[in-house]
Amino acid sequence: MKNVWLMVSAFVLVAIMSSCEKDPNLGASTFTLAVHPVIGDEALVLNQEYLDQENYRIKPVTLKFYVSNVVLTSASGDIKILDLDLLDMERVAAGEPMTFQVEVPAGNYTGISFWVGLDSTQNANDPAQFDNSNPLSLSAGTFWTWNTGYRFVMLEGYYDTIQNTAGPVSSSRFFNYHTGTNLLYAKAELGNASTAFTVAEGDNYTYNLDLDLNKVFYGPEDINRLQDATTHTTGNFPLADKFTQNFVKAFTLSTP
Amino acid sequence: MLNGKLLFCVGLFLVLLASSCKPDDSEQLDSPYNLVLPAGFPPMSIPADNQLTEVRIELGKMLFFDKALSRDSSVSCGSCHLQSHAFSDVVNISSGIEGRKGMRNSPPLFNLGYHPYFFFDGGVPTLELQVLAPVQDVNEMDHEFPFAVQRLAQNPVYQKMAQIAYNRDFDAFVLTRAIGAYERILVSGNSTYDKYNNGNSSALNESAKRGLALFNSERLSCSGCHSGFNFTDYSFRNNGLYVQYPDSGRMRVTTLPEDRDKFKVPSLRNIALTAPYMHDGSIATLPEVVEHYNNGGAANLNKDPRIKPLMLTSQEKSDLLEFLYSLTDNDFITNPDYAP
Repeated sequence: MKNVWLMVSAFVLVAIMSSCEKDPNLGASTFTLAVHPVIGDEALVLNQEYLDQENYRIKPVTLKFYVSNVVLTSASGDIKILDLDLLDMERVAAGEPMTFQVEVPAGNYTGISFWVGLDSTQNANDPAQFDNSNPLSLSAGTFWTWNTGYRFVMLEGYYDTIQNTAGPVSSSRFFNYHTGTNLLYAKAELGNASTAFTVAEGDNYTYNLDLDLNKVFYGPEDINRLQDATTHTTGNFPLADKFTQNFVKAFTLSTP
Repeated sequence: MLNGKLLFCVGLFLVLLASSCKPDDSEQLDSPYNLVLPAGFPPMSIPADNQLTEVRIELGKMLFFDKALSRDSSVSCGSCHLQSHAFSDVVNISSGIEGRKGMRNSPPLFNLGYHPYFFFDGGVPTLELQVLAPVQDVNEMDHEFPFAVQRLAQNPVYQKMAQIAYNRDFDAFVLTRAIGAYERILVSGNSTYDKYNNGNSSALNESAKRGLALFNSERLSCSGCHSGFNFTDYSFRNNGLYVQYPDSGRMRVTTLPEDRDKFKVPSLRNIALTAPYMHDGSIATLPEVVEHYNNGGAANLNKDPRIKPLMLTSQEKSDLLEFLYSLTDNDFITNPDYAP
């Protein structure tokens, strides 16, 4: 009889304890970042032709880049939301959007910052140690086999060497920008009064991160596309540097 | 009660015994490889994740000579690295798939475990990572590495060996490690010169001895760069081959103007076997190489200060060549352990 009472007591205690556990979903706030490569107002699709801001036709065929150490910035400190990922337009074409979603604490946020590329530790990895699903694996197609390290940004395609509003690309030149090396690990910082936001408990919040190729080619650093069509970084470091500086300034943040 | 405890103890003992006897393929079927280094050679550093074992090396050797590594299955590593030539090639620029040509001479492969970096520009830091480059290079095997792995993984022998050697399915890790393991055992240190250096004073003839003295002399400064047991200090230098180079060499990796046109100093071991010479194979014979240095080279801005006219007599050139010929290791090029 004594044992029966003991068992009943234990059952009640367990039941009470489990009823006191916090619902793990209650209060969780979800932050979604959706990356949208564009050319001006048009969403970018690989192998399609566009007219850039100076009426040159352009047809991108490859766009992939690493983002790493992504943080939400706030007055009370930064919240890291992502170590690294490879954003690859070929994956978008295959139906996999360039979106990532994380849970964040409720609070006031002023913006977002991230690095384009990989930090020196990430960049020193041996790609053969990763399975194919890892963004640092050989299947990502970003590792420089003749040199140590990864290509941070790969943008390839064709553009007209003459202004041509009629299309298609008539006097095409292949362009090929591959940036990398620890020297070109570059930070993008986005956020101002208009993009500040508050995440309440249980909220779902989405940011759009637009990458405008017009700003890459016509950014603060002058890139003469007629002459500066190719860089594998070490072969033309000044161009890779200019490209990188424009690239990190080509992002804008907005709410849907 | 005592019987119950006794029964429990016996049962526990049997379970432990059974688990300790559980077969482990990798332990049972593979065994450490005893790398015997030549007298006078320093210990070789071997990566923790690729310690040498019999099966790893055997797998690496099979892969080294497997043409399936290239996109059209026409060339293997062994196509451009011939054992009879100290694992170098006999042409200035080797042919990749479809007869494609790169821009650099195929280097000999020996004593690689001592190299701090690989390729003439030193861009790759490990023997394992080095495996990636020729496979993916469009002028060599032109094969996306994941596809090469996928193809080779279809081979049930490779799969079995991967499990035994590395306790995992055949993948990029196995492919890079196994070839690295095989290349690491390609050790050459039994030349006529080595016999002399290890105490056999009659191994070198008088001409070779005079050549050795010249080689080490301050006047010629050969040993200033071709130093140590492996006859290289692994530094990057310009030897005045051209005034202007089509290949920027080390600068390709560092982007530094002071590295322009500089290339890794090669080992001189087996040098008589590795013609043609220089990073681009542009000098056909060893006497022509000696003549190049004797003339002092072209006026490149980054030319090493040691490269200057040497004013060698005919006898001195002949002695120098005799010494260089003594660096040939015939055991190395006929060792059946290295052959497919």
